[in-house]
Amino acid sequence: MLKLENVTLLYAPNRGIQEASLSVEPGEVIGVVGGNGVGKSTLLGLIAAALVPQYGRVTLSLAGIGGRVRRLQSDIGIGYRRHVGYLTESAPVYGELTVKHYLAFRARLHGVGLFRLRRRLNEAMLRCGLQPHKKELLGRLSLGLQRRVALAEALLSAPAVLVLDDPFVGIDAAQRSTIANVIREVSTRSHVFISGHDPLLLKACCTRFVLIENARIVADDLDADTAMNRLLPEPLRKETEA
Amino acid sequence: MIFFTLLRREFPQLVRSGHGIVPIFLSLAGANALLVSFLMKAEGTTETLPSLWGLAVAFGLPFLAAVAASRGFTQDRENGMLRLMFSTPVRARWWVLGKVGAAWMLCLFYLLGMATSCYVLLRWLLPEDAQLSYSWTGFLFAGGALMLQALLWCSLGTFVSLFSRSSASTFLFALVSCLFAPPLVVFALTTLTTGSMTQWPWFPLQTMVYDCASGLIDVRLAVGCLTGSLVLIYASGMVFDALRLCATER
Repeated sequence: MLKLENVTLLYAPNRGIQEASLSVEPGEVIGVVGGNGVGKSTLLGLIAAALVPQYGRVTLSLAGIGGRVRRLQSDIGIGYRRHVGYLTESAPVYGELTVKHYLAFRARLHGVGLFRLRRRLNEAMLRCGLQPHKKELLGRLSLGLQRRVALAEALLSAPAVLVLDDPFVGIDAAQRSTIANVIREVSTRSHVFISGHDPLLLKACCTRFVLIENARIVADDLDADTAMNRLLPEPLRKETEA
Repeated sequence: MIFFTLLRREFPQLVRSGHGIVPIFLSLAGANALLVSFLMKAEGTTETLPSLWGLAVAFGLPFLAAVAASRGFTQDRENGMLRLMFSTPVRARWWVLGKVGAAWMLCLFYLLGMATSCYVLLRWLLPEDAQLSYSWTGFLFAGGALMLQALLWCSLGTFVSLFSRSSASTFLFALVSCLFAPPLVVFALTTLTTGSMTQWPWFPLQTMVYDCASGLIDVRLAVGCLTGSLVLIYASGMVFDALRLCATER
């Protein structure tokens, strides 16, 4: 189980995230929604341990051997980070490496052993439709393909916490449904967090929604329809429903 | 293991980038020109070849190290890679050691290049009646002193790269620090320990290489270089962690 307790990180008054509390079970896909600049990426950064909370804590409880529960805290050591797959908003990659080399490099940093490496690489590339591009230089790929590489990277270590910041941006329609399927597939054993602005795609992936306004979580158990109602302006909502 | 994984990515990338191949050629050209001019001036004197070689190499080293290390974390910040690095299960010290190691290896290539050109000079280009005394021990000591200095420069450049948002400003800061920090530190330390200093130490580390090649090994400067490097590497790790704490990855 992943638990956020009064997590706060403020860059300026009302910029960042304030007193966020949330409890997520494995298998849940949480859609983090809200307007621009309300704190979605900050919240996801905190869950991915890329940022450290000023107050509160993020704890991941994992069932270990013999039913023993291991509790890992995001701001202590690197134990928590071993279980995180993170696709950042800008999805940066090293342009001078080929797709395969880049993924292998990132997998090794995540501690994927040599014996598992090839299987994990093939699995991730297959899932994200990258097999035909595996020998191409990342710098020569389109932005959409680079994003797919970043997504494959997030999936590489079979993470317990998968954090995807706007995963559908720049990805073509055919790949979007494939990626939505991948997310659903991964979610059976992970805690998945997705942010985005496309209600239909989020609806297709997420099991519940967290709504953020003015750097605070205002609702953390919304269903898809309620989230859409809260998210979209009236005319657009009618259009989407139609 | 993590260190070698990082080094295997960092070093080829550094060599292929504008921060690697161009500066190494410029440094080699500059140092070779300097060596030839030193040799011409040394005609008829008792100067030894390792001392002149060491001195010529030592003047190009800060420039190369500053350019190589200025890429360090600044490029990651420019690419937006820093946030991803924060969430990767790799300790800060390994990131720092990977960057410093890559820059240091580039400096070693520079040393190897200069060693080759010196060999070519000795073997084929110098007139047969040229009387230049040299010893392999002298070259060995000079090489050791240069490697130690390269580590210090690279650590300094990597440390500076953590604070800057553009490679150009990191390069400038690193170069200025490389040129002015050693005289200041030596002056301060000497004044503190001995009470006074008769002459301003313009190039203390270059002089150290020159002395080492002649067999006059200044242990204090060598220990200072090593300690300085270790302190800078440790401090860089702390700053990297502090960047994560302060959420200033942009």
